[in-house]
Amino acid sequence: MKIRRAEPELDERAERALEEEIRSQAGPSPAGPAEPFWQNLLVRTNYRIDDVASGKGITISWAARVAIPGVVAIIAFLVGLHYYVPELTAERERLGDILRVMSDSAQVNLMDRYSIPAEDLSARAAEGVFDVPVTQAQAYYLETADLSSLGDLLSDEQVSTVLTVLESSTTAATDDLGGGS
Amino acid sequence: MDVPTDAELVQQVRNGSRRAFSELMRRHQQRVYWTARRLIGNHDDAEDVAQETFVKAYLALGDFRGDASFFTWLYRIAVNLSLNALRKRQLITYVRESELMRRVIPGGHDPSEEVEHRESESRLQHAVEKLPEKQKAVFVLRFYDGLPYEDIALMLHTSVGGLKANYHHALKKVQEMMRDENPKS
Repeated sequence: MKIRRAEPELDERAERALEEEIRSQAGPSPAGPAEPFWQNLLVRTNYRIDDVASGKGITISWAARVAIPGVVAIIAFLVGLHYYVPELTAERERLGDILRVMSDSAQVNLMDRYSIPAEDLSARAAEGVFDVPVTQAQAYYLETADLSSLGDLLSDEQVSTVLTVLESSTTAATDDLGGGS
Repeated sequence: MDVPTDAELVQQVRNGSRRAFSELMRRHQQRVYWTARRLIGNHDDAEDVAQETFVKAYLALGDFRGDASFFTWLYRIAVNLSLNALRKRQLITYVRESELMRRVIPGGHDPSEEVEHRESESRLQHAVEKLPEKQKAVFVLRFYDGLPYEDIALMLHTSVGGLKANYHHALKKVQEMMRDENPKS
């Protein structure tokens, strides 16, 4: 424990006397700022109050550290999400081109050939609902999905088969039209 | 036309008058600056503390209940900010001193001179700077500003008796230090 020496407390007169002695010994006071400083201090303090009171001071630093990088990241993510397209395979591009130039009748014909009777579907469903053969999936895609996505399911060989079918159906359709005229 | 009192100006500020607050700043900025400067011992930090004091006062004026005078309340903010700045400065000085001691070049100048390099100040100011924090605070507020012990006690959250003891210690120390610096007297 620290023991302090008890010193007699100064009375008011002794306090004043000591203060006077110190004042008389003190050297020159440090130079104070010139008058323009006080005017500038007033202006600078007012600016500082404006910044804080309006929230600008907070916003600038906060924006620089948090808001701007955050917004940029979110925009970049959304833009990426919007424009991102999975890379197309060669088959898909090829099939997509073909399907785009196909006539409506040729597409109908193609779907007819690949459609599966309802009884067959029931029979397959009984075997296993999730065990769907590729041909059935292809047929489903042809009927319901975007035709251009068919390429995802077809191998090279199957694409050739489809093309052969398309060619023959197109020829048949042309013949039909020619025969009809 | 009557000059409005601080209390009236405070009321005007509460009603949204910035001009009234500018008037309060104009009235008190010099005393706030000098208190900060005597406590911290340097112009730049004192200016910063003076600005910060008014910014804080402006933002906290809603909490000012008027128990003490506006100036006492303002002073309390200034003293607290000054003591914080002083502690930061002491830490920086300590770090710099340690850094300089490591870089001592044989035959070079004394690194402590670099640390001690300050703007030209009076002997009294030198002595005050050497006082411990509490004694320095009470010395500045009592010796320079002549504040009553009761007000200082309110600002520094301490008892009047403790303050008196601190002030008397401070006076004696300052007197001794000034005698040591100037043995002729």
